Amino acid sequence: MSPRHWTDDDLINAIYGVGPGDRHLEECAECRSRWIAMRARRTLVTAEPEVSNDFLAAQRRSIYQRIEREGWRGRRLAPAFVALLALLLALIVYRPATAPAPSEDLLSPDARQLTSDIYGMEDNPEPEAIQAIHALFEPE
Amino acid sequence: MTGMMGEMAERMPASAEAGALLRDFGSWMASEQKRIFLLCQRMLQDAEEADSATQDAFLKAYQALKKANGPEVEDASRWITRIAVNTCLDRLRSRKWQFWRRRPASEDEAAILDLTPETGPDAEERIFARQIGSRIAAALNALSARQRAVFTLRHFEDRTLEEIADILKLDVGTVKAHMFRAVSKLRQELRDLYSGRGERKGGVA
Repeated sequence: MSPRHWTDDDLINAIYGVGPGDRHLEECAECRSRWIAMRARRTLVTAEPEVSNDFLAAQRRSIYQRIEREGWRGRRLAPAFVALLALLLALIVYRPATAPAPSEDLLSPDARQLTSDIYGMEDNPEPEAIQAIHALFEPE
Repeated sequence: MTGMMGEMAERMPASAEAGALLRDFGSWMASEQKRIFLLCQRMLQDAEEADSATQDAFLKAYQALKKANGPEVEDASRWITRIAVNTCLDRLRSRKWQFWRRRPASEDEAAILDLTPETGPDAEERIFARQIGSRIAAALNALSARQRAVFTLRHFEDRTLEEIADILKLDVGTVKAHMFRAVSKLRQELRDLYSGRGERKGGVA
């Protein structure tokens, strides 16, 4: 047996499982009875407070609603997910075809000029008419 | 528990199985609900958040049980305790960033927690219990999330250190270290509790 009795702090530590490591409590009847009395005091503050049945019932209802919502969310999201997948697949697979240039003999000279201007704009976005204006400002 | 639910599921078609699971789950939840709510309330010190955490915990439990290869649960009570404690720990950690949070008015908490009336022969004891209980609750805010979890499970649920280690998935030595620090930080409140000095707040040698 330890030479001295345990202090209150030792007994408090023992209540929480971190008391002195020796077997003093098993061997010292006095300390053990103090320890038992102290443990009994704890029940004063750890007694479960009443929680109203209405509150618990409302909480259960909320849980059931959330369980239901989770189920529905999964079912509702499934078609949206499939549609999104299809859209992504379509974007990957789809290649826009380039429009063929119109055959020249089908066009009148004016239309041919217009076509040539439009295709020319792909290389040079400035219309030809602008070149005359630019020429006015060019250094001599 | 899943064993029991699993046996039922084997004998039933899918729709009936879901209904049976929900019924079994409902009765089990009703038996654990109050304890889990109080555990969350004690860890979070906020009745509204404890309500939300309790709902989250049971929802997670249901989702885990619903899976075809759900967890094999030996001790359902310990299992739901672990889920609830982890839910609370997550919330406590995220609180660090929520500087705008404020505690709900104490009357809101009182509305949810219908405390026993202060009448009868041991009314004085009850007043003391309430005072020291409030002090301990307030002092819990000084603990880290893990210290708070460890202390709450021991103080309020009287769990052994081994059980706490199992719930928190820690080794017993780590639990002991957390507990020792928690008890040291709460030393004054605990001295007053165990010596019956509810009002005293000064130091004791």
